[in-house]
Amino acid sequence: MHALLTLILSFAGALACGLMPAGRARQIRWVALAFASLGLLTALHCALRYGGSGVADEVDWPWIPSLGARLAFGYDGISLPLLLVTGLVAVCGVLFTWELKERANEFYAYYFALVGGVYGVFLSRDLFLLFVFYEIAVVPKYFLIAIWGGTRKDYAAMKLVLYSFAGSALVLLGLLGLYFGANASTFTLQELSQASLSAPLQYVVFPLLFVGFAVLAGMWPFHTWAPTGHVAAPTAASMLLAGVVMKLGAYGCLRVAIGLLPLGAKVWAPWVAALAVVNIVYGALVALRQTDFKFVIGYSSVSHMGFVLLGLATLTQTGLTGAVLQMFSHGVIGALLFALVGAVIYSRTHTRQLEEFHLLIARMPVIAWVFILAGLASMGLPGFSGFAAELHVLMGAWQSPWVSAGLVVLAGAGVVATFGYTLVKIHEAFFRPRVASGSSDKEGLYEPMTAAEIAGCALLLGSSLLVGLFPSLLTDKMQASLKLIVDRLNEAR
Amino acid sequence: MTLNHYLVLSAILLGIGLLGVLTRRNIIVVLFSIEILFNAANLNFIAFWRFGPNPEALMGPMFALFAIAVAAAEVAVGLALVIAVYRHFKTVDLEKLDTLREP
Amino acid sequence: MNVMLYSMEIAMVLSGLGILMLDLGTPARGKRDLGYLAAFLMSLLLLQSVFMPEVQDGFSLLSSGHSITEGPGYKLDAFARYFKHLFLLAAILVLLMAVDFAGTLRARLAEFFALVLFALTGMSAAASATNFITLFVSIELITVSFYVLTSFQRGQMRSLEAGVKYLILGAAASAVLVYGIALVYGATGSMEFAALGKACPSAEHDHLLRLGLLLVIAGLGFKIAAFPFQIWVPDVYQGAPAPVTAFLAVGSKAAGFALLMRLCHHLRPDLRELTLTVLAALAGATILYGSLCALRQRNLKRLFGYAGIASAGYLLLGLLALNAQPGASPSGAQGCHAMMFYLAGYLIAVMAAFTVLCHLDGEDEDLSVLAGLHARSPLLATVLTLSVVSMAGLPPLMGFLGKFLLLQSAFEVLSPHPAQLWLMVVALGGVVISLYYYFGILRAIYWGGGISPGRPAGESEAITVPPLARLLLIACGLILLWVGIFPQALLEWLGDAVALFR
Repeated sequence: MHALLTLILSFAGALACGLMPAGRARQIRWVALAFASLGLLTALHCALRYGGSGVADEVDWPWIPSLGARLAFGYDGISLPLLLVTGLVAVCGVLFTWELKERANEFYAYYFALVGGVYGVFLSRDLFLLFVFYEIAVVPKYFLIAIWGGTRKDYAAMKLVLYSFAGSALVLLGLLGLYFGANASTFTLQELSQASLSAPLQYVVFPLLFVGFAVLAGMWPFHTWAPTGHVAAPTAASMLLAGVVMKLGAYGCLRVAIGLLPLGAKVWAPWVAALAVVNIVYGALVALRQTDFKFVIGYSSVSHMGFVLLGLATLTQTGLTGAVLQMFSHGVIGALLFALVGAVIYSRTHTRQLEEFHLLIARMPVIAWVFILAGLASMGLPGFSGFAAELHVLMGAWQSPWVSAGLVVLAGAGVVATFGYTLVKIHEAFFRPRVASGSSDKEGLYEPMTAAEIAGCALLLGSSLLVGLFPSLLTDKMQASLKLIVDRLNEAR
Repeated sequence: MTLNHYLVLSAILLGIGLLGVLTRRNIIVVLFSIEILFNAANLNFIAFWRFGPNPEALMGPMFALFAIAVAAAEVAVGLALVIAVYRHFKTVDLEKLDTLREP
Repeated sequence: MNVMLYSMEIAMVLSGLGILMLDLGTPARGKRDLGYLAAFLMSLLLLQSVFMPEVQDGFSLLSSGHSITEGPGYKLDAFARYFKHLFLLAAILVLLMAVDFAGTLRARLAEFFALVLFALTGMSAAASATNFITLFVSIELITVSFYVLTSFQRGQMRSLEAGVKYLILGAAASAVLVYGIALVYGATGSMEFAALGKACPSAEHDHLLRLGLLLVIAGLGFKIAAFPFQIWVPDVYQGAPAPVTAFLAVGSKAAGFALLMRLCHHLRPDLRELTLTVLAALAGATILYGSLCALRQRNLKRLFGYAGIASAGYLLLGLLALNAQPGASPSGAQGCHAMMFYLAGYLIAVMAAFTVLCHLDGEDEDLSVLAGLHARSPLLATVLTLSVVSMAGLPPLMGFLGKFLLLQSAFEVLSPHPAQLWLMVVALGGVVISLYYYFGILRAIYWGGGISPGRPAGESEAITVPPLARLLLIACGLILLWVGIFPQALLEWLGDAVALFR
């Protein structure tokens, strides 16, 4: 199946769901599941077919000749894991919102518009096209949070939109600088990567592009949209936000900023590394202090994205591999954690305040153990994808001339902090009697997991385990594509 | 009388007109001031034409005629509006027209 | 004299007069049909000029032996024709909107339709103007028609008040414009725009020319609602009947920009240094002022007024390219290209938004009239969403590419002077700020804090939209989307229209 099918299926899904009558929630969710699954199958098929180097499924149609923008699509080893994680999260998002009834048709229309925009970014081989898809995702995000969201949804939705758009404004400025700097009247990645850009231009444009994209990746100090946005969003949307949308930013940093501006990257990498380590440590420490379960996960996302950014800052093959692997890993695990906290547990306890939880391990044993597994995966236990990713990142950082040893040590301390808050929060959530009084929580066992929930958990946890046990499944595919970038970095001077 | 005399006079008229538009509150007085503004410009046209390099081309007076006609149209509409306003608001004071303003 | 040069304007005026004559014999019930007739006539004119442009260029009835001015002051080139198409399209949509709006306008419908046609004539003439006489007459034709249109709801205080405010400020601006033209005439001895490209006889003349030029820009700045000449906009937009506001927002503004483009095209290189600085400052201030003031508005027409001010600022960015030194990259054509594309998208979006407004039942156009719109009429909600998102400049709608092209051309003009890149920061900041108020509208549509207690219970009833309006709304939405995704056809067409700026 052709990779473009993911994109087409998503927008077709948006149209199909949007046009169905709102009352038919049952039919709508099956249609949504069908479209999402087809998207995932397409992504899987692409992964199986991918030979390990070059750009696959390349198409290139003229679009706006006067601008030099083309409808150029294709995927390589870097996009591939991200296509997979998008497909996975899209399917599981539908599974975990199985009970949604209110305005279901609109919900899935926006949901698929967002998913389609994400696929579009990962498949674009033309910067203008990439930017267009990047922007397309803004409106559905806003709607998903602001209509179906929870805690302070208006504030969170607007904050998310303003932050991501401010980031886009920087990216736009950088793009224009790149466009006129390259002086080739083209936006295609292929031709831009061959254009010679002067060093001063790269020094100026790199931070614009990198910071612009990194806003969406949750880079400190521009991360504050992330926890509030994730918490306010309905489950499926926060899964997408944490699992996929944050990766858009990281992907942009890698593909555009680092991929096209090697000289700029080398100058700014130490700063990026420092900010990344702040992300890791700060996210972990703040997560430790949260009492709302969803905020814990929100800040842990910030911390995990720090590893992606650190991997990017290494500018080495190992580090970049780790960064991409971490994008996949956090996409899967972050989505799972949000699903568990926001849907599975919340729908039973009707609270997310940790002090109101009462010995959940005895009252929802299966769910608790699934969460504990997910937590272990999140903190990077060997056997799960997070371990391989963080190991690669730290090794890359150690080898990298751009990341000082002190930062690597600090990042290692961040790993320990991650262990700390994960264990503490697991204890507080599941093994602790109620602290707050006056909760309306009823005693006794909760109802078991539904089939949809089991399927979703199995899918996400399974893929994390699979990649954790056999990281080479993904890493082999991405080596050649990453090597191109690393070679450019080494050649540029 | 040189060109400059006319230009200075016209500038003075412009100043009077602008002052009137900006400071007076009676709509009718403001309409007067606008007339003065137009006439300042018309005076310029005539002066530039008369002292210009080729007075045979009648562009200056022609534009002045256009401007007079247009100013007449504006004032006609303006007076009609003033009457309508007076019927509703019982005033021709601009400051009293304040149903539309910043929230 | 070549009558065919003016054939479109003649047809417009005759249609307007015809409507007035027919009014005499039309019973009160049939007055609305005159609006359909006017729209139909204008559609014919639009189709004729799109598909048979050569008829207009055809033959000349009288050869001009000698005339008082050097030329006809009038050009019917591809540029003019593009703007005439835009104005015709806008007028058709406004006329149809006004027919649905007739219940609120109450009396004297035929005069309303006729005045729309007269304003259209002015705009159409402005697109062709190449000397100051045509410029002045066409601008005044537009403005005087709008004085009456604005105050058309004589029974409503706010409409009258808006009319008075527009009249006083508009007349003062016209006077300043005339004064500026007088100075330019004194300096160059000619009424032609082309004379702006020639050297002045002496240094004093040159000073006179610069002063006159600034006054002319100020006068036109009033029409396009650029800061600091925008003070009339919020009150007039709010007070005028909705179709008039839409026409004012699109037609009057586009006419001003068409004139500015023609004017700037002829400027001498050393004058361009001055105008570039002035226009850049105007653009930055206009964007900031419009975006910031729009933040706290709750009246929809007022909100669109401020948003329109900000749009004028973005359009001014495109004008910068025309004021760059000749031979520099980009050519003026590129800036005009961007402006004309943006104007097309802006026209569709504004017309769609105001058509939706006309079908809402609130008298005061407060944001709360949108509450629950998605349930009451999914069509209106969707089209308004598309139009607002397009105005906000998000893909894949027309507004995105328009803004992108404008920013791109401004970036290229300013990049040789890094100190002036502040304007880019301001412009992009304005885009980010604008999301706040545009998304406020979306919020009001889809989950706006419920219905205020004072409203009648019937509020949540479905809104029925007449079939023709429904068709138009769907067409507007589809155009915004289709041209946004596949802009090449329009861009190529524009390529011919801007050929004169190359």
